[in-house]
Amino acid sequence: MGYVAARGGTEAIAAAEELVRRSRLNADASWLELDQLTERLRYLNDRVMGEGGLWAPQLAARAIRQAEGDVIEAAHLLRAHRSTLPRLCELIPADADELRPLRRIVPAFREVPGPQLLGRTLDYTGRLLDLGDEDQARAAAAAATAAAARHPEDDPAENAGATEPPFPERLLDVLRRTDLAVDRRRDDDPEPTDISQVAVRPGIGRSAVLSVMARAETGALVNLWYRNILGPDNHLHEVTLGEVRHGELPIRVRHPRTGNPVLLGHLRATEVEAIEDLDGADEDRTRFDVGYGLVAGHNERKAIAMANLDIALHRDHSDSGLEQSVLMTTDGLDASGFLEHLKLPHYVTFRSMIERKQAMRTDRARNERKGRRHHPAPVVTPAAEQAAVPAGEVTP
Amino acid sequence: MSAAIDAIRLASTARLQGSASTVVFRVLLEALARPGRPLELPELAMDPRLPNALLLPLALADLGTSFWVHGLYDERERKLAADVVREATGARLAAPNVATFVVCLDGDPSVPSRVRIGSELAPEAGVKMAVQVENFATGAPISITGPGIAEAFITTVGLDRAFLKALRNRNQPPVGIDTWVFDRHHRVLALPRSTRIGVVDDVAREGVN
Repeated sequence: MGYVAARGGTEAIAAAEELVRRSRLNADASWLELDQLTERLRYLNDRVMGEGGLWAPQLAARAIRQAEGDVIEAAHLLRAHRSTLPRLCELIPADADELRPLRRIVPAFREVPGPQLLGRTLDYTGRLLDLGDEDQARAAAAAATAAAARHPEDDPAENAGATEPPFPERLLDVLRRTDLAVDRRRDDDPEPTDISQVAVRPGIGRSAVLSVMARAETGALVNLWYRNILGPDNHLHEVTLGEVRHGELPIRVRHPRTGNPVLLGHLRATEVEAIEDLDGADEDRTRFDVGYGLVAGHNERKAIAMANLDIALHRDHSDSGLEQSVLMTTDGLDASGFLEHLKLPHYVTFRSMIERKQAMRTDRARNERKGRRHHPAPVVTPAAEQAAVPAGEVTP
Repeated sequence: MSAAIDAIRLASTARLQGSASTVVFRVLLEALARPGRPLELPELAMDPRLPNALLLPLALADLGTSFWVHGLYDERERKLAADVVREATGARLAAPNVATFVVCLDGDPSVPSRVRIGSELAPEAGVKMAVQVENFATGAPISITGPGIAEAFITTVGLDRAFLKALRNRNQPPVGIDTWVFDRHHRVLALPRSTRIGVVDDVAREGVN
């Protein structure tokens, strides 16, 4: 695609830039502190980190503040910043079984190993806009938190939170033990593709596809999921979730001199396993298969869409173009960048389009004149209509 | 003090912390936009014994990239420089024909023909090369033209005729070598692969236009 770079209007552009900067820094409202974003708008902050591809709560908050709440713009700022950062070391692959759950549910099965831990979820809160007295509510919440700190063992809200190791076994482990799951694990352990270094195209390995989905725009992934929860028979499939977990994943590196693992810290992640009922003609109908989703931060919607799309892609055998849609259309920066560029001046592009139209019109008028001269208007019958040569190709 | 400990200590001064690597990157980028025009380097905490040419890998190299340091005359200096870059950036030392970044400490004219220049399908694989010189005022006069240069001008960049000819022969955009030349006065200039270098004895024959 060849786009003509915008020239001119530099002063207007600089003034617009200054207007954005000044209005943002000097709005008639109290300044938005970073902890308000990281602590009070945690879903937003997590989403920006996930789509930006960088775990940095404070930087994500700055990006959201600078982007004035435009999620994709904030993710863009974060990802652009990420691209300037050096790679300092390689992490030791994290074991998802070490995720310290803040929330863990198994919608497929009541009696699972380990607890069903609702945790901090909006799943069961009423969707009623709370118009009550917020000062009163905040005072009550503060008192309840203080009371809970004194008697944590009696507090249901506290007990709905984190659990300690040992970490609960997965439903998938149970399915494997009872020979109900297709085993697609592999021993060769290929290096994962780094999608920030390699342009992903259809046919690329699963690690790249999973990475693309982990970094995808949440809305795009949910939309694609909704359009594609189809089995090989093209019927909508009831998808069952085996695990939905949100928790803290330990991040370790090898010490450069001793080679020993060193804990750097934790990042919160959402992990989902989606169980799929295999019923295709060429599939093992006596077993289930499982799709996997893992995204940074607390974003269950995205992790569920990812897990479902992962298994859908496996079952699809690249037949429907789903892989292409996942790889090429779900990145928020990519899609919105292409869309937003339409607002840049396209004067030359459009002028050349106009000139093509005018040239075609001139050409057609000339041909019509010639046609009239050489071929007096014939009586058009259906057969003659079919055989008619397009006007542009009439020769004298 | 052993050479290894010396390298670790020097690397601690050479590691570009925080936004320092971005600041150096901006200068290197600006230099590419104005080929042949010297720019001041930012003030950095780097030990003055280390050649400024190391700033190219120090600012841009990381774990995912590779580098090579060339120096014919002082093996100890060359080895120390390589250790410092590896220690400060995590980049791996590689052969000249595969390295992402090459630092040439002495203007050896064999270097341009030994580094990679990319291909028409992958011009980004062309090497990014830093050359250390004493002074821009010395060296063979060259005329330079190309993108970013409003009017062709004649200058010197501290490099001799043999090196400049070797460089010119390797630059056939889109393939080629992006070169930054660093002097001992804390300045840098760039000769991107898109810049046409006329070495003046040739220029005299062909005429400057």
